[in-house]
Amino acid sequence: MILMEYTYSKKTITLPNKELTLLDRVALDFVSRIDVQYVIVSGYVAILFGRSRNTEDIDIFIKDDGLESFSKFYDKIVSDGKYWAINTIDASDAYDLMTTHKSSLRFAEKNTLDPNFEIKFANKETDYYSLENALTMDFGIAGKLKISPLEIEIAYKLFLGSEKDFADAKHIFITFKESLDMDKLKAFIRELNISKDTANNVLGYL
Amino acid sequence: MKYKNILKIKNKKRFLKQLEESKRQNFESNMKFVELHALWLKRTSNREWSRRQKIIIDEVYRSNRHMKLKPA
Repeated sequence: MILMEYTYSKKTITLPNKELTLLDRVALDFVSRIDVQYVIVSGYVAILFGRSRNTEDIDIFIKDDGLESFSKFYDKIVSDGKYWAINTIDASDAYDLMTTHKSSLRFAEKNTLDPNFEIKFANKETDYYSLENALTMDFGIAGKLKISPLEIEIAYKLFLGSEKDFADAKHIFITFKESLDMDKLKAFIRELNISKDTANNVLGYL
Repeated sequence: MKYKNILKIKNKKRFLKQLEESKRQNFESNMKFVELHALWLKRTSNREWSRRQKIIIDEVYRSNRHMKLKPA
């Protein structure tokens, strides 16, 4: 008998009566400061839906709308001193890191290192798809998070290929099996060149 | 060579095969656990599974917060 309750439409997921972890609360607080288009991807998405593991970082893609827009984004996050940028000194330095060096910017609560928010500019088709088609995880009065569509999340985890990634993919797949768009999942698996053997071994028969 | 055959391996080919087999079994066992956990989750109310998850996750971050870094 299935007792886990959720609603899942194309654009929104809810998990009624889910108790928020500290990780959820920090994530909700952090994204409430973001006023650019963003999407949370990777491990935290699996954890959000009950995966039994922890994480040091929450991966977020944002759109690159130039230095001016990025500076506003950066300054809004650090302005009240609750968060600090771990690996940069200011917005300009961070923008250079993310564009010239294609690296990521990390924010965390002041004087801590984790959980940290690993911010990257979207720069490939999978990133843009997740940004443009983000799902809203609705926590009711606690707030909302934009997360990657589950089908691409599963396929991308299969592509990454570590045991942790496979486990995340399997967890999301089993948890939402009845609601996923299987044709879409198969299309992502095909386009990411994931072998049928890998998909079948990890997810079971697709 | 100072540490030649420190593991005292008698048959390297067999040893490497055993390692691979043990890696495969470990992977399968971990994947099986993930499956069992996800199936348990689906049979459990949100209130219950999230309460348990919260205990585990919050404990880690509470410990981290006790170890605040000092600015350099």
